[in-house]
Amino acid sequence: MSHAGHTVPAPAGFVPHTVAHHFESQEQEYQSAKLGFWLFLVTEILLFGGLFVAYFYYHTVHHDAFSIGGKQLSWKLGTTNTAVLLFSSFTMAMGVRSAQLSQKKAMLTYLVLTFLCACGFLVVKYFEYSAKIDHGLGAGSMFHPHDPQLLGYEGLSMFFALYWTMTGIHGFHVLCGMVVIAWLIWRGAKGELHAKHYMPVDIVGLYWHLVDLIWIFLFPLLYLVP
Amino acid sequence: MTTLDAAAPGHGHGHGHSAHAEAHGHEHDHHVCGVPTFVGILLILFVLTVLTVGVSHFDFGRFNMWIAMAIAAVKASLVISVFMHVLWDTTINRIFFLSSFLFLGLFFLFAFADLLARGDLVKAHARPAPLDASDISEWGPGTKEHKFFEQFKNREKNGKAKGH
Repeated sequence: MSHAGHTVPAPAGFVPHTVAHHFESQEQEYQSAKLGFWLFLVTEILLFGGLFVAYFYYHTVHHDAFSIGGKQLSWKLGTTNTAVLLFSSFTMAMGVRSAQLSQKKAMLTYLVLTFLCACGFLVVKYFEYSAKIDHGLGAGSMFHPHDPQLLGYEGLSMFFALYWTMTGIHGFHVLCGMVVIAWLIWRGAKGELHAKHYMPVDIVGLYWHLVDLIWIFLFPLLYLVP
Repeated sequence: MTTLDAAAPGHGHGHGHSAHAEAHGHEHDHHVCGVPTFVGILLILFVLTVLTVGVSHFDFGRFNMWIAMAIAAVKASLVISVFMHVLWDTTINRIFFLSSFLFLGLFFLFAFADLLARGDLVKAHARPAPLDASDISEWGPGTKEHKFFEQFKNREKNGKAKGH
């Protein structure tokens, strides 16, 4: 009953899932999707890995400039965003769990909460970004610090180039996460996600935890510059 | 189909391995984590975040970086093993994901072998070149401060021209 092309009976009130014809069983379909997604996450680790190598390299060379750079960022806003993302990782994990248990209402609630946390994160980021622009602390050619105390620190522009690149790519991931979470909410509302087919929730969950994972390292490196 | 109910909430290791599930390999045969586990992990993550911020206010010299990264690594492994279910995932998935950190390690190893072999680079740039700008109150083109800035830029340019 879980063979290729077969429709797997769904719990009462849910839409049944049909196994794609090229899979032998639903388990094979699930495991293939999972393995494929883990591979994607590996490429994500290596993408951010390159940026982390760049960070540590220039942190070693321009230690004092990085220290000054970190002080220009608000550690309070950074901590707030860390808490928001950690909490959203929790709600996402709870959403996956609710899907596994066919608890539609709970799943939708947790997914909406995760989505709202992502919005909150980006709103805080917006205020941080505009403050940096206002102080002339942009990336590359947009780096013209208004505070004369910041002149003369070689490597400070490198700190801000890394700050913008790393948080920018991370923020883009948050935005993409919001799109796929919205997709889950839409499908979940239609009753397509349940104990017999929660793979999409599981996979988006993995993605969202990775976004959290990257931030766990970005936060101390940029806001607290050790 | 009550396999899932057997793997219900609160049972940390609720593998619903009924004969039926094994015969047909349904999706619902996977591990379901208990709510207390997730709540516990979240609380630990919050405590570790507070710890990271707290520690950053003390000066331990070069050890600040090691402490911050050690705490981040603990947080990351909690997220990976519990939130991402790696503890209960298949061996092949675990190998694939964790191998990325191995390759990342190689990346760091060679980048830093290069950097540390060039000790002069680190030394040459380690000192900041602070300007005596304590009397500067305004900023903009035409002001004394701006001239000062231009001077600094020229100084930098000349330095580079000399092959510094």
